[in-house]
Amino acid sequence: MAVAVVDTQQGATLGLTTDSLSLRIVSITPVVGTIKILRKTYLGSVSKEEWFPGELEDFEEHTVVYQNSPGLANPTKVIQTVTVTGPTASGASVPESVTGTAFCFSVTMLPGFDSGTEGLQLKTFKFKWDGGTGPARTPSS
Amino acid sequence: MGLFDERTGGLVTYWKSVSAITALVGSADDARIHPHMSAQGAAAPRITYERAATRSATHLRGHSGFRVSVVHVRCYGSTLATADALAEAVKVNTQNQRGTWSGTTINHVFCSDGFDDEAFQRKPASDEKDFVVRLVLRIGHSEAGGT
Repeated sequence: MAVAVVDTQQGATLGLTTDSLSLRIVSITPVVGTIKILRKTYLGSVSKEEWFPGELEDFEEHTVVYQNSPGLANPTKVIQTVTVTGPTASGASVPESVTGTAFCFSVTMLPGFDSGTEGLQLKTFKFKWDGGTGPARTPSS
Repeated sequence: MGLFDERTGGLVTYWKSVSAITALVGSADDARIHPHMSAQGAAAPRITYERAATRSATHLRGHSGFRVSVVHVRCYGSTLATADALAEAVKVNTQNQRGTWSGTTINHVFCSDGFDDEAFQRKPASDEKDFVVRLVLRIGHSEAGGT
């Protein structure tokens, strides 16, 4: 059976190998790799601008929002393998995922509290792929 | 046992444990507290309640096990003053509750909406009326099946 061409977002997970936390994640920002756009033209150029693709790919920082579990440890700031995995699509046995080494650089120690909200307590952490290993994508199959 | 079941649900059981409420609507099995509609011929003061809406909190792996239920409470009295006194007793003794009601964890109870009043003619061509004061409770509580 072919992998479904569309899917919803429920079922996605994020794993931190060293911290090994079971987080109730509300949202994960997308994995986006960007290369520099280098100007090819010079003062003697005529007619139009020309551009090169840069060689070094940089990956955007991620923000992860999760529901607070007061008894659970917070993520640490060590370099560790991070895996972001999408839901297993209908007809697939392997979900789409991205894995690589990364480190958290911003971690909510205690959530904010707002008397006007009925929502659950939320925490946030931010991580950055360190470029050492990956991030590499495994497509769904 | 569901939180909003009649007679033995968590909300009704809690109300039956509050003397300020039972002093007005009766106690134990004689308590005049009913879901949706009053018992036939029930005297005033009395309470009816109905769940008007619910909203569950989700995360990427499913439901969190937390739900907010919006409950409309109607407090009946033979005069507006008695209906209002019952509504005040319900409000004062229900809002700000945290803890456990019959096994259900209660995270918060807000009573930020209400009151509003209305009156019904008890019988056709009669001066006898039932006055009703309505208030809205927003109850944050645990639900089964959380992950």
